[in-house]
Amino acid sequence: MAESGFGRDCCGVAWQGNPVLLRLLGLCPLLAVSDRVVTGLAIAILFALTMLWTQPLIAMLRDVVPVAVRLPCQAVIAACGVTVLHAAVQAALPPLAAALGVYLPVLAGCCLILVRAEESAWRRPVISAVRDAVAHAVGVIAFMAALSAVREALGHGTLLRDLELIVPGTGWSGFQVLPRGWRLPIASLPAGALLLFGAVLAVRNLIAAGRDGPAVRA
Amino acid sequence: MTALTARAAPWVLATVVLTAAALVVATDHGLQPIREKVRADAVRAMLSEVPMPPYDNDPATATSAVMRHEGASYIERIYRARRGGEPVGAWLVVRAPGYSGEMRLLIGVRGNGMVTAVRLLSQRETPGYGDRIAGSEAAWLGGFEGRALDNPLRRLWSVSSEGGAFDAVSGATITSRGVVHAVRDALAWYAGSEVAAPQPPVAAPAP
Repeated sequence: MAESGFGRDCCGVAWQGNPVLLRLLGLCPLLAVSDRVVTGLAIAILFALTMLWTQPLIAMLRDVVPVAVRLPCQAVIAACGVTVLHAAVQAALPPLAAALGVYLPVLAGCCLILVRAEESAWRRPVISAVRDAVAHAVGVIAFMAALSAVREALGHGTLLRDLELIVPGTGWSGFQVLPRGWRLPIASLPAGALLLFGAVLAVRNLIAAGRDGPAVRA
Repeated sequence: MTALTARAAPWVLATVVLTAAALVVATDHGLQPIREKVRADAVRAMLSEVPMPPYDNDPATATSAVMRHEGASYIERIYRARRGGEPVGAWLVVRAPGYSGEMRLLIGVRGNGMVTAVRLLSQRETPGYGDRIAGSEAAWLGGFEGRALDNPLRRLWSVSSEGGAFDAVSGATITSRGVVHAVRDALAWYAGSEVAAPQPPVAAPAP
């Protein structure tokens, strides 16, 4: 994987340039539903799909769209993709749409997607924009998997609870990873998301400082 | 390819916006069958939790919004069970005031007005007290099985601390009373409008 440039790109973005950790962008829709692995991963995957929809389209249209209207065009393309995704989730998995609440439609205004559109897709050929979108999607999914797993394990004492939000019909209540009654309720509250996020950021910066030298900006 | 001039900007933007709008409308239209199927499946799963005498229709489609206040309760919707076209019973979705906010109940009623079962669909009662009627005291709801408007007598449809025939879940009198009254109100509405009103058409009497 590491010998191909694309694999290295993915790892590079996921770790060194992780969009969430390094730039603190897109926090609101992502952190808000990261109290469970199922919802955390769901929003991360929906984020990835939005990236894969917006970035190539914007790269394709960059020769056609005049500079003066590029921002509204980017916003409309992102909003269109998110609206379609939202309608699809509401139709096929209504409980998941209810669990994600407003944080799914709010992806349309996710600054991370709009910033990548303007910074990257608008300035690159399509193939390169797709690679960038995939790399960012991988970074966000990895980050959300880790954060939501820690939050769910501490806050609820389980992993993969409410799986039936994604796979209807499984009456499965998840792995019990902590003894019943042992839990840290704050981890599943919004404040816990920010506290743990800070902790993850600190650990990442510590490791990065050891490896790359102290020049990590946050 | 060179970027178009600024004069084209409004047209490009309009094209992008209209295309996006068309895409959204088309998707929404295409999703309609999936949406209906998923919704009907969810309703059938919900209804299958409450027993009913044998029926041969699809109650998920034999439904109508009721939207009637009855006492302190609100009858939201009815799903009808029929066998050979004859009504054999119905499921009623009822909202009732609990101790903190609204509870939603699913009540199964036979054609003769007898309760088959009561399930709690959602509640926001106090953890450890009122919410036990959905948790450790869930069997309490089983006490409604076989009840009807005249069993117990109508004035006894309350909790025992108010002279009624139903023991409240301890520590959750208000929640329990809300449920008891909701079942009573649902039965009263059902007896009044669903059973009494739609009589089979009678031939007009000879003049």
